Amino acid sequence: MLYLVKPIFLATDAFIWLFAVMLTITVYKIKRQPNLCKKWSVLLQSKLYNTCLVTLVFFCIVALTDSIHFREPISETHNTKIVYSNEVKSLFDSLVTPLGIVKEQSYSKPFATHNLNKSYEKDSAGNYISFYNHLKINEKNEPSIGELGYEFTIKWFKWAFISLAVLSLYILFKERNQVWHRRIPNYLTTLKKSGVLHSIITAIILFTIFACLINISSCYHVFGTSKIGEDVLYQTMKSIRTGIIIGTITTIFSLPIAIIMGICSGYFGKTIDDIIQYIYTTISAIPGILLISAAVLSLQVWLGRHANWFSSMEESADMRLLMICFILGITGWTSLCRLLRGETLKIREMDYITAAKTLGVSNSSILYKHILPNVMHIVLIITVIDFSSLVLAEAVLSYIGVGVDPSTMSWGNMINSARLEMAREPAIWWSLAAAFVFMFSLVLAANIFADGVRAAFDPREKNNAGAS
Amino acid sequence: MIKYIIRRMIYMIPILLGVNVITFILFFMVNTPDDMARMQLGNKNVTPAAIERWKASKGYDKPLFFDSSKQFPENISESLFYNQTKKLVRFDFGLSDGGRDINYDITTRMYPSLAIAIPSLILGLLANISFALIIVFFKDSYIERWGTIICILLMSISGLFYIIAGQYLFGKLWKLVPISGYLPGINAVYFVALPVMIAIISGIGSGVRWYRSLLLEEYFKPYAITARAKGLSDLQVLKRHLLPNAMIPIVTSIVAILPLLFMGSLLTESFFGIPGLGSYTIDAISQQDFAIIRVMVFIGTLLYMLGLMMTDIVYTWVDPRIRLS
Repeated sequence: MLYLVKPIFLATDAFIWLFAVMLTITVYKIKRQPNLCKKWSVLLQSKLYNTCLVTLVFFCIVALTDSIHFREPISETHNTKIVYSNEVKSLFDSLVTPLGIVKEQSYSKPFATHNLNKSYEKDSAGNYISFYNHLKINEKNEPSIGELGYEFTIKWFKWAFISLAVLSLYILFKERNQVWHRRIPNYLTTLKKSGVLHSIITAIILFTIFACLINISSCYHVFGTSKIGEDVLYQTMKSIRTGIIIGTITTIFSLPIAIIMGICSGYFGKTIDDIIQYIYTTISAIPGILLISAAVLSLQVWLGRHANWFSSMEESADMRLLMICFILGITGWTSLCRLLRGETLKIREMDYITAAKTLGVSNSSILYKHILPNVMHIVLIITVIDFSSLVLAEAVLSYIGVGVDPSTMSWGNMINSARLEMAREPAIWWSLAAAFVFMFSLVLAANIFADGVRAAFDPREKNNAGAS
Repeated sequence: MIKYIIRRMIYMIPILLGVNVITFILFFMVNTPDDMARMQLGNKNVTPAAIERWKASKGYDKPLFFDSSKQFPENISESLFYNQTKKLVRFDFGLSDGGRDINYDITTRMYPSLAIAIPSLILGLLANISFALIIVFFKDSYIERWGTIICILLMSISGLFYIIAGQYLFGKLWKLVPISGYLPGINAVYFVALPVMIAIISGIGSGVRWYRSLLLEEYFKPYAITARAKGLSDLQVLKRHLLPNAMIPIVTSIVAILPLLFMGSLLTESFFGIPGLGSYTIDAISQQDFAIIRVMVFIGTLLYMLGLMMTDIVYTWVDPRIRLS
C-alpha cells in the first residue's frame, strides 16, 4: 500500500525540486511585472515556441516524478514489523507500472515475441538443441497491435469524454456572467488568443503518445530489450531524469557565482575587477573537457576513499551525479560572467545609476534594484542556451568515462554501450535509436525554445528584425 | 608591437601560475599521492612500505608547499609544488605513471592529430561559410527558412550519433573506408576521410548559424543599405561588402583556436583509433594517469593563451581601426 512506503531522500531529488520551486516563484514574479509578462506572452503566442515549451515542461514533469524515491514494503511481513524491499523505486516507476517490470534474458528486437539469440538445452538423448526462447512479456497473451490499438482508443475516448465534460462544467461556471450559449466559445477565444489552447492541444498529443507507449508496453517491448534484458524504452525514459538534472542543477551552482562575480566586477571596477577577471581568465584558460575530467577523476578517488559515507549504491551514484553537476557549474560560469561584466560596465555609466548614486542609494541596493534586473535577460538567454549543451555534454562525458555512474541510467551510458552493439552481427540498433529519439526531442525543443527566448529578450535581435 | 607582445607574455605568467595551482590542488591535495600510489599499485593489499617506495621513485614524497624543517631557499625548493612547476616550465614532462616518456609521446602523436584537425578546420570553414552565404543570399525565402531549420536539427544531434552512424554506414555497411586505425604517410587519407567528414557535418549546424548571424549583423548596417541603394546587386553587396567585414570576427576566432589544433579532438580520435593527442588524453583519463593529464592541461592552457595573443595581433592586421595599447 502506498501510505506504507518508506521515502528515500536523494541529494539530487532535493536539488531538482528546489529548482522547480525556484522556477515557480520566478514565474509568479514575472506574472506581476507587466513588461516581462508582455514579452513572455508574445513568445508563447508563437505556435512553434509554445510547442517547444510544453515539450520541455513534459520532460521536466517526467524528471520530477522520477525524483520522488521510496522503498516498497514486501507483502509477506514478518510479525508486525514491516520489511522493505531493497529496490529503490520512484513515483514515475509506479505511474508507468507495466513498463520496466518484466526482465528478459537478453537482447530482443522491438515488438519481438522471441529472444534475439538462441538458447541451448540438453534433450533427453543428451544432444544439445537450440531454439529461440519466447519472451516473458507476451508469453501468455500475444495481442495484435490492432487489438491493443482498439483497446487504447476506447480507453482514450472514455477519458477524453470525462475530462471534456468536467472542463465544460468548469467553463460554464467560470463565465457565469455571460449568456449561457456564449460561455464556451468566449472562453475558447480567450484561450486561443493567449496561446493556452495551443499548449493544451500539444500537451494532449504528448500525453497520448506517452500513454500509448505505456499501454503497448504491457505486452511488447516497444524499443526491444538491452543486453541484460531490460526494456530499452524504460531505460531511455529513466535517462530523462539524468539529462534534466545535469541541465538544471548545474545552473543552480553556476548562476549565483556568475551573477555575483559578473556584476560586482563590472560595477566596482579597480581591484575587485582585476581579481575577478584573473579568476575567470584562469579557469577559462584550461581546456574545458580536461578540467572537467581532471576534477571528476580526483573526485572519484575522493569518493572511493569515503565509500563508507554512503549506505547504498544509489546514494553513491547519486552523489556522483550531483558532483558532476557541481563541477560543470564551477567550470562553466566564466562565459556568462564575462558577458555580465561587459553589460554592467555599460549600465554603470547610465544616468539613472548616477542619479541613484547622488541620491545616496547604497551600492548593494543599486546592484540589486537597478543593475540585476537590467542584466537578467542575458542570464535567461545564456541559461536556456546552455541547457541543451549540458544535456549533450553528459553523453560525451559518460563516453570518456568521467560521466555519471555506470549504474545510473543515462543517454550517455546507453550510447556508450550501443557503440559495441552496433558492431555486432546483426547490429543492435534499437538502444541507440531510443536514446536518439528521446535525446533529440529534448535537445531540439530546448534549442528552438532558446532561439525564441533570444528573439524575445535580446535587444540586438529586435534591431535586426525591426530593420527588415 | 614587440613591446605589446612582451607585455602580453608577462601577463600570461600569473595565469599559468594560477592554472598550475588549480591542477596542483586537484592532483595532489584533493587526491593525495598516497591515493595515487594505491591506485597504481592496485587498491588492496598494498603495504605502506610499497606506497612510500612508489612515492619516492616519483618524487612525490616531498611536502606539498613548504618544508618547515629546512632553511630559507631549501624549504621552498624542496617542496613538491616547486619541483612540479619547475619541470613543467622547462617542458621536461618526465615519465607518465605508466612509465612512458611523455615528451616523446607528445612529439610523435602530434602529427596524426594535425592530419585530422587541419583538414577538418579548412574544409569545415569552407562548408560553413558557403552555406551561410547561400542562406543570407536567399534571405526571406523558403531556402533561408529551411536552411535554418536544418541547421537547428543538425545542431540538436549529439556528435556521438554522427560518429556511430558514420562508422556503421561507411565502414560496416558500405565498406568504403576502414572503421578505425591509422597509417602514416599518404595512406592516411583512407583513415582520415571519414573522421574529417564527420567532424565537418557535426560542426555545420552551429557553424552556419553563427556565420549567418555575423553576416546578418552586417546586412542592415548603413554601408550595406547604401550599397544596395546605389543599385549594386545582392550578390555584389554580399561578396564585396558583407563578406570582408564579417570575416573579421571569423578570422580572429579561427586564429584563437589554431594553436589548440595540436591537442586533437578527443572524441573523433578515440572513436576512430587514431594515435593522436586527443586519444592520448582519453587513454590517460581512462587509465587515470594523472601525470599525462597534468601535462596536457598545461600544454592546453599554454596554447589557449597563445591563441588569445595571436587573436589580438591579427585583429590589428585585419581591422586597422584597432590599435594595440
